[in-house]
Amino acid sequence: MTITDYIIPTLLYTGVFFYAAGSLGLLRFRDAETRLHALTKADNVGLGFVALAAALHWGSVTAAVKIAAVWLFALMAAGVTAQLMARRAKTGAEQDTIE
Amino acid sequence: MDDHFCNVGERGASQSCHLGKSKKRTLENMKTLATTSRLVAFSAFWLALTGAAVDALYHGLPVVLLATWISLVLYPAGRPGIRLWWAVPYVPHLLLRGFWGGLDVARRVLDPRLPVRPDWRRVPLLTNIAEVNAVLGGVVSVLPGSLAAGTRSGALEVHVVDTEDFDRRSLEAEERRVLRLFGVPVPAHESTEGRHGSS
Repeated sequence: MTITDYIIPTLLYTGVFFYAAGSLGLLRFRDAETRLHALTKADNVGLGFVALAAALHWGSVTAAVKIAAVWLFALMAAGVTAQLMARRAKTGAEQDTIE
Repeated sequence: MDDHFCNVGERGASQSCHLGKSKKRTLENMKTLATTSRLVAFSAFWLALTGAAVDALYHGLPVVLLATWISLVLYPAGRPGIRLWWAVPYVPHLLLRGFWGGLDVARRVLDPRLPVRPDWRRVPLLTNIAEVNAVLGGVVSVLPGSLAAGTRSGALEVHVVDTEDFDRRSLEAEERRVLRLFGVPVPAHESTEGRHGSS
């Protein structure tokens, strides 16, 4: 076994750990905004570790570039979506207060 | 209007004509540069996605052209852009902060006491440039403990996961980094009064 054979599962399990933390946050946190923290931050890190594991597993530059592009787009999409959802949650909460 | 001045050839109009032409030429140059750089970027992205397969090039050409056109319609040339060379050192910094953000959330979630004291905070902004503030919102949402919800009255609306851990200075430092990314001059020592939306 090479050192890569140990690194890949380690990265995968670390990724799964962050995904699990994000999902647990969705269940444990009480309001929509705090749940968004869990989903945007923990899941993005989880995706990063899984992407690194996949890039190492395939071991080609083309695959690594493809995976990096997917990760980058996922990060950008998560940043934009989180902002929009947080704004919506805030507006909704303000409207509830007025009513 | 500039063309009118040029055609009339009146005295004193030549300077306006010159300025108008120069402005027009700058805009044309910006359009050409934006179109070329986006064409190159989308082509590189297509080649990366398809592994530069020859069969995929036939589909790639219309896709790249369409993507460039959509990009120019949604974000026309001449609007503020990120300086690529400044983004190179900034991306690793952001990834590292993002990692700490994920770790911070995981720590709170797994703690049986659930240490969260969430609330909203307003962070006054240095500029009202919409593009800069939109990127800043995305960046703030990656940082540990903060989530942006857009701007209102010159301030960034930030949801913080723990009000006791909230570090306003850190967000202000991040704003200065984003401003540098866009090439916007940053005041060395700005006071809170110098910021927009300060109360």
